[in-house]
Amino acid sequence: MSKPEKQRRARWRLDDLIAYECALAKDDHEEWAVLRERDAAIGLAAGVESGGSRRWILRQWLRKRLEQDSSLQRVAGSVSQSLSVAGQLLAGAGFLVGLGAATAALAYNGQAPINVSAFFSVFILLQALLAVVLLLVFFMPRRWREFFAFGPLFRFLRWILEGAFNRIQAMVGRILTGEQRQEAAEVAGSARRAVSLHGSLSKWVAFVKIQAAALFFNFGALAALLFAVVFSDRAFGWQTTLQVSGESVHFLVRLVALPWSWLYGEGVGYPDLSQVQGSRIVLKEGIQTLQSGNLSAWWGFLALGIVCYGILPRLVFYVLGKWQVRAALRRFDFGNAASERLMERLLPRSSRFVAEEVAQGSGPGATEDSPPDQPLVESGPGIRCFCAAELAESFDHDALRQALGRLWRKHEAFVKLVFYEGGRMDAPVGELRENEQVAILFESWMPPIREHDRQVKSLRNALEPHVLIKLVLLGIPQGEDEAVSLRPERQYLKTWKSFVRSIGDPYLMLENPGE
Amino acid sequence: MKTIPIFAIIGHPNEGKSSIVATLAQDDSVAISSSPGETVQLQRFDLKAGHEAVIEFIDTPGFQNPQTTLAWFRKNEALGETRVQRFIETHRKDPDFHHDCELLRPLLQGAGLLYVVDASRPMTPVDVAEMEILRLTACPRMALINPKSGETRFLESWKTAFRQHFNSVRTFNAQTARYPDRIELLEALKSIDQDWEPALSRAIELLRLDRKRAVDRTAEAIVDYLEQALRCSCSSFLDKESGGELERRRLEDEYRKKLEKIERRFRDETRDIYGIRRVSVELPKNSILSEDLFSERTWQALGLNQKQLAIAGALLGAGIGAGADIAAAGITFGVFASIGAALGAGSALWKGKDLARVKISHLPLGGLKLTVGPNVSDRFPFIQLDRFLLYALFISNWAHARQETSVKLGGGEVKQGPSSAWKQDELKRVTRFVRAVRKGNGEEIEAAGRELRQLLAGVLS
Repeated sequence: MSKPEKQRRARWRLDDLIAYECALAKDDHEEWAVLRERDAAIGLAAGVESGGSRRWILRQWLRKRLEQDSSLQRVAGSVSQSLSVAGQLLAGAGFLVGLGAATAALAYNGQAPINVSAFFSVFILLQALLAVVLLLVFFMPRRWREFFAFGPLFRFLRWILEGAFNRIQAMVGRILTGEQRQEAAEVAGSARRAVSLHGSLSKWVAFVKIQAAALFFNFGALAALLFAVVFSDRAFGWQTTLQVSGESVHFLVRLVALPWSWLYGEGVGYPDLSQVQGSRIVLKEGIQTLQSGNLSAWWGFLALGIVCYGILPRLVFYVLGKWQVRAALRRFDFGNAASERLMERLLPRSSRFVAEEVAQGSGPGATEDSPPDQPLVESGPGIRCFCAAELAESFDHDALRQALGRLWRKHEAFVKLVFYEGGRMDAPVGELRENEQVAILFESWMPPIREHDRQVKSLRNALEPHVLIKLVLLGIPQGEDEAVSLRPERQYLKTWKSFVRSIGDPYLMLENPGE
Repeated sequence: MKTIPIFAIIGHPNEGKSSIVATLAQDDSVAISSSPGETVQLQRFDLKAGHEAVIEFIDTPGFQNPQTTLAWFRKNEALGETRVQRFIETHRKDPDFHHDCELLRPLLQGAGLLYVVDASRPMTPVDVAEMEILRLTACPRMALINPKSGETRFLESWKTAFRQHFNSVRTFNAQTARYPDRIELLEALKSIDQDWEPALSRAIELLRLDRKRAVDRTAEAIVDYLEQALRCSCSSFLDKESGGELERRRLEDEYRKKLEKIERRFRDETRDIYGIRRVSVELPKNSILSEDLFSERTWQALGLNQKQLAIAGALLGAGIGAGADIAAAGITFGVFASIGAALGAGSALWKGKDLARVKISHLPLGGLKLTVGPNVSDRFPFIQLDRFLLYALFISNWAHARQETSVKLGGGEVKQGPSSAWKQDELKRVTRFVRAVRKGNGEEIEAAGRELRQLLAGVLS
């Protein structure tokens, strides 16, 4: 395998991704300048500039960060450990439940034999049915799966939950202060971001844990059965009020035992006809007349039933889940906003940030027009920049394009301004060119309002979910010489950052956070 | 049903609406925050004159959908006067429009609008949409410029826009507005709707009367608590002299605490008079008023200057001397008064800031009586008076929207208390009261107290 191909396929484990998210969360509270200096020193700039594989670059960054920061290692380790312990606890609980339930089902006091039908229904038939349903879900076409998953029942449940959530939110909103409400919105946004970004992976991780728990449930049930058979005298029988013949029951038993009958045949792996007939219980006649041999013939059938219909499918699902976890990790998209910001930090003091810094540190006369050392790029994909038509009226469009071009180190011809009216985005978005980037402009001297929120969401709905949206904040021009400023006002920076977080879109980033 | 004028304070989030309400309604229970979105429901606050509500102010959430709302208003022009009501009915179940419905609701009650903006930032289409919505409601309205910074570059463009959309424009800083600024704004409100003029005039008249009552009550409180401070003393009995020193220290400590308690009670009463309920209102550490009464800095910064002190000392000393003249049936021709005045002036200049005189009396049946206080320093009454006055002035001009507490009194070398500007006649009024209290004559205290109250009411007005 060639080196670039190897880099492209850089393998991420679940623990790595957990550590990566922990590292990003920790960096979220740090100053941009500090992070830039630290990350640029890691020495991955060459890889970034040469367009190296993002998976590999970020994997290297994570490795370095874990080496540098032992506290990060501890935090990430404890999160991974917690996940692992949760799985172990689930498995332990499954084993105990299986053991307890089977022990209860195998209770025998010499009066009436253990009812094979009841034991079979709970510990074999039910599990077999569940396995079949799961298999169907697995092999069902995606469209069908989505129909069942997001069908009328799902919509009804969502309606109920949304209504309840809105009511609770309104009630709680009256108690909380504005700041607390904002924090709550951020937490909800973080949850939405996590679901959106890691939903698929989390689903499979949970699936694996559940399968492990179910597997151990079966181990528990099997252990209880074997323990009861080996260390005590148990009698098994079947009973029914219906006029069912022994032959019919034997036929069903043979059918169920098909998977193992080649290994353990009639009389061993499952009872033969005479044993079936000889273990029928008629309560008014008691069990005195029944042969002991016939009453003990069922345990093998039950044990092999648990192995075959309980343990084996769960094992298969467990392995399948693990495989899906790996696939989800392979599919994980590092093109999200947080990773994008990180990639920017890995570059050694890119000109746009130098320009930003100069402008912020200087007096009113200085602008980000201060000469950037690096030349503007005159090739590659362009940037489509959305701006409310009403807001655009306040600016000179050429100056705006130039300022934005400087921000992205692009020639202004590559910056396309798209104006929308009344907050509607569907029409102006149209078809994006390959690798064309998307940005949206807002004024930073006012706090974000619902209309901004709707505009961002409307833009997202008009785009593919994985297209990165860059939110650019306009600042107040400092003097007559400055037509456009891209230095956001400090007063509302925190609010705008909080706004972006509360939306919970992992592919939405604040492009000029003014740090 | 209330018949008083109602004003809804409306604007974009975080423009200072709640601050304006707090200052105008003189109510510090209004929730104010530096981050946007603090107010999510309508909140009504009455401006009271005594116990009577004279104006109602409504704090509203900020606009969340100005452009969409304006589009709806324009689209439904045919609805005419019912537009606001229909807008609320149409959008009341939409959580996205909750704030917009809430802020327009007071208009259904016929409330006037005070549109608040921070004119130190550029105007945006969102602001224009908000102003246009308010214009379309056809309610009486005023634009209030609440400047958050000194930036004036955008002021003209704001004013031009305001002239097109509002009946009147005023600048009002909720954080620094004093009592006269508040009255001035209320006067200006008369101009936005003639129908409200009689009600607003009556409201302003009642508020002025209420203010006068508050000033009189404060002056009365100062006189009462000054009398308590002047009389304050502590005493205890001892069997033998051996523990005297220790007991003296204990008594001095007790004396100090008693004076502190007097000041604390005065401050509580003053806050109560001016309706400042927020318990967190405390003086900052660097304030002269948070200094100990007997600290070096207090005695340097407050009280009288040297010349005044000599006059005051003379006035107090002359009083004592005059007592001796009277005792000698006037045959001394005022000699004692002159000597007393001279001694008083000299001692006042040189007497330090001793906590209080310690008196030890031997009791006839054995044992000792230790007494600390009252303080006989000529400077003490003026220092105490300045502390009372400064606090009262600070509180009486308190803008209820203020989140911080600070008293700017300059350096510590110059005299900063109000008494440092008093002339001989004013000093005489104070010394007369001090003398009366020290003598303990009830009638004299009453008469001199009345004069002092008038002087203090003048300072506080």
